[in-house]
Amino acid sequence: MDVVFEQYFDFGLMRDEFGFVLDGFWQTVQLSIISGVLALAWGLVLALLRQLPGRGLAPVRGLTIAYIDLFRGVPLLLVVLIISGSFPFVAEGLGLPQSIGIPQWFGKPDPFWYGTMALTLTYGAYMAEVYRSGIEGVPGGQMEAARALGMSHGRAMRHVIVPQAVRRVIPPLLNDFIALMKDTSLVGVIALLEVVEAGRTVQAETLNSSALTLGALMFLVVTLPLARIVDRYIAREQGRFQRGLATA
Amino acid sequence: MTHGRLTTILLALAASLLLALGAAGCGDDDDDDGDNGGGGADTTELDTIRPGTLTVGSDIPYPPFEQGRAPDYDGFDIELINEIASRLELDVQIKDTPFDTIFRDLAQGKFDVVISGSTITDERERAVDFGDPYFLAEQSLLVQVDSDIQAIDDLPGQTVGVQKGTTGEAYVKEEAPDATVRSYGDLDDAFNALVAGQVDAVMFDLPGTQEAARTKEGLEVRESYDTGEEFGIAFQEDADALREAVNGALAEVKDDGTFAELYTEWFKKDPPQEILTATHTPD
Repeated sequence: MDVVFEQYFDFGLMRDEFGFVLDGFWQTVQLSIISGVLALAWGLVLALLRQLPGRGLAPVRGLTIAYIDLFRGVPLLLVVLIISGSFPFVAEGLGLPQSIGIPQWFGKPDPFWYGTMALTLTYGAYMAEVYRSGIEGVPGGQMEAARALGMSHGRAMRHVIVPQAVRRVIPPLLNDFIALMKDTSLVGVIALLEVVEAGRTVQAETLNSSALTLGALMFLVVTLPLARIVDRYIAREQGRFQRGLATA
Repeated sequence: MTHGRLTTILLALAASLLLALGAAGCGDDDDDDGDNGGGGADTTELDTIRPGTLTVGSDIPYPPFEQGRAPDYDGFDIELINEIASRLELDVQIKDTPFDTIFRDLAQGKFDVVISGSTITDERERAVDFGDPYFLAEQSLLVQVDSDIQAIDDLPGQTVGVQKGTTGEAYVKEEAPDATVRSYGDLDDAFNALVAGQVDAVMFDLPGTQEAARTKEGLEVRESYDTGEEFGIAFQEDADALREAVNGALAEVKDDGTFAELYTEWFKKDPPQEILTATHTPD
């Protein structure tokens, strides 16, 4: 047991390497926020595309469903590896400049952007399904009433359905965001120096794993409050529903 | 949901779990069991994890030292350890393991020895002991053929790929602190990143970079650095008997010409005289 404490809870080492692991965690946070926001937006776009009415737009709905199936069905790690490995060559083949194939935008290295792409593409698919459950959960009468008032499908969605839908799925969206934040660690496989990779670097140099524990603690500092916020939001919505203020 | 339904679902889950565990137990492990001379009579004094077998940890692939797929690994290290083990009348079991935790895993008792193109360093000897050296290595800088980088002095501001936990990583961080170091868990990922242009150079052992230049498109070794590194076989810290036995077998292999044969086969040249007589005492 002593060995476990020494290997994983060496506080002196944690103190010495705190700055380095924190720098890694800052990368994690940046990647999470940027990918998270993009995934939330992209997910909504996908969900709306999937909802488009009419026979003419069936191909659009079909492609959207295929996209969502693909990215929900393939592990994120594979998506990261495939994008990182192929992107420079695909870009070159399409005649795009190297600044696209090996993106170094805003001073962030290319693994950061490959990671962003992979996370956005994948989590966009998950979030699209969450939005869909929200949209389908809004009573059908709402859409009928909106159309009866002369609103087009688009206006009805924008002003009536989507606001209600999004409010009801904030907890699962936040849960997906927490999952996304933890999954950023997969981008370490293409050598982005995020918090897990920083911990592993210290581990390889010092033959001690305490930096990994430190990384875990840093994650908890962020994910625990987020989880509590989700809980409070759910409780508040439950309360409103029970008092008859929210729609069913 | 009725109680009946819930029970059925839970039973189904438990059954799937048991099935999956059973299937895992029946499947083959991703290991190589060498077939060189059966377990000898007096090998128990060597106190190996499995009597009669030498359990070897190695990070595969690192051509030309270790490469291939289980159970047909080959390479200089693999053939050398097979040769040594046969002198000790031991079977060999090779376990592929990531390099950045390989010495920790050895110290924790997962293997008897580690042979993985690894340099003898003081830091590593805090956790493990090394035997006598079997290879002299240098660090080297690998770049794309048309790169402007000519020397280590050109590295500041550039991105250098390395493998996590290697002396190449330590060397470039020490000698070119203004370069951005990108550390990959798998050696091959670093080389592929160089081919794709995602890193500007790779710092790694010379035999490794030469092999990469030979097998991958458009790479060349620009410079090498005489760091005086020696590769050794690593042991757990209290495994004196095993270490001495392996040192003895290695000396035999060197003395009777087998070492020179293997060396020439894998490196296309004669071994340097120093390596044939080099010894190492762990502190």
